[in-house]
Amino acid sequence: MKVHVIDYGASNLGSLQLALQSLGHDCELISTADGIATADTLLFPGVGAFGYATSRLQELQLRDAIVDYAKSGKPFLGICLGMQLMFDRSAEDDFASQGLGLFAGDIIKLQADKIPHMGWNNVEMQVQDSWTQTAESPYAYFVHSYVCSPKEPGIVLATTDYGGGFPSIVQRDNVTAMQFHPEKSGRYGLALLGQWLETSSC
Amino acid sequence: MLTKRIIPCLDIADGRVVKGVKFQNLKDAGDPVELAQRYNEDMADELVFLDIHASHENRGTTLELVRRVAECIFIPFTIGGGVRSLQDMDQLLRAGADKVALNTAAVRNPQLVADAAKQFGSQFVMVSLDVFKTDDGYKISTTGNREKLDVDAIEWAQRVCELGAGEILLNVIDADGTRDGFALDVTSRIASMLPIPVIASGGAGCLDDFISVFQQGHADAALAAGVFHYDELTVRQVKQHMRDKGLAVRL
Repeated sequence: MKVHVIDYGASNLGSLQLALQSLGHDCELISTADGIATADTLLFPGVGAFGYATSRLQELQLRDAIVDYAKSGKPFLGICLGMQLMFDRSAEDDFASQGLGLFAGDIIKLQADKIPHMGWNNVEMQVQDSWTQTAESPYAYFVHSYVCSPKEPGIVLATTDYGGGFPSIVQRDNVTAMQFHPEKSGRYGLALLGQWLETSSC
Repeated sequence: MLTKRIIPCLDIADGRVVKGVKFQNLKDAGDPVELAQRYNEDMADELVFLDIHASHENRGTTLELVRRVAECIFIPFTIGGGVRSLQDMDQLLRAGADKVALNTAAVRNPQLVADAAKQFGSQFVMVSLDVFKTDDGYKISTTGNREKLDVDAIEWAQRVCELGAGEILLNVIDADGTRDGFALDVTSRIASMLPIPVIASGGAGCLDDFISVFQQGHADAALAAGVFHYDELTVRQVKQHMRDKGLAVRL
């Protein structure tokens, strides 16, 4: 399967590309609105600051293309900062810039002694019989200081506990998002990524 | 909840894993990628590769190693040893390393930590401290423990954190290779004081060492080399023991 990954200059995409390749998929990086429109399966990664990312999306004029893609019904996966950008605003830049608004709610700071949340934590499924079920031990690798606070609880597929429970996987229709890095989460991460790709394509 | 991490460390010389005691009698211990895969299968949470002969000349070999590891294991790995500049770090991160570890270069030029945190992000920047005990508290050493400095380890750890390091790798030289357990006093002091994760290193010898390092040492992660390389313990055994003792662990 050909998988497109949005490259907007906000992260090193090497690991994600290698993970997709190891799962047997072709991976292409795109950074234009036209490229996004032609994608059949789209990944939206991201590492770094919310404010910087929204300004990059603005500069590259990708916002409308991404929102249109999400509405198209084609599979769309946000990872880490990519997940956060799918929401409204973020405390990270004092709610100054606007995310894509695909999910209602803001991004808020984690309340814990050690920030960022860095390391392996349990991904606790909140929904039965979902595509997320794997044979692997459900621990994923997280590195983040902010979490989403969705207004619609129904989108939460899984939560993780750090300074309280927060959504680690959300989904509505064709749009899915993970707070952790599946490409760094060993066998569990690869299995999850593989399953998302398999179930999305049919 | 967040689990405690177990991190095997592999010493690399010219692209091969080496075993030795305090850099003496180095023996070839195999292909780094094969060993990385083995540790990965054994549930290692992360890996650290320390390039012990790192120099400008062999940077290419190291980069090739990083690429090969990144292609086949999908857990975080860190590369350290002779990292001296932003350019070194950029090359290593682009080749596929998840984090770079700075030691001597940070001591010689603390601003490098801040610059690296700014350019790459704190989460990519690990600062490694080699510390040893004196009558006047713990001090730091550099260049593979060849240069001992009159710099307080606790103060340096604090400074490094303020400069933007994402994580600290605390290697207590006195404990290193002894199998007598991690240095719980200084590890606990630094880990309790800082708002960033601290990886304990030096002294791992038995299963219970991997309990006390978390319970009394308050470390966020434990790194070990000898006990794993010489097959005295497996990562899985360590984790099963941790689980039996009620510690949060990925198994």
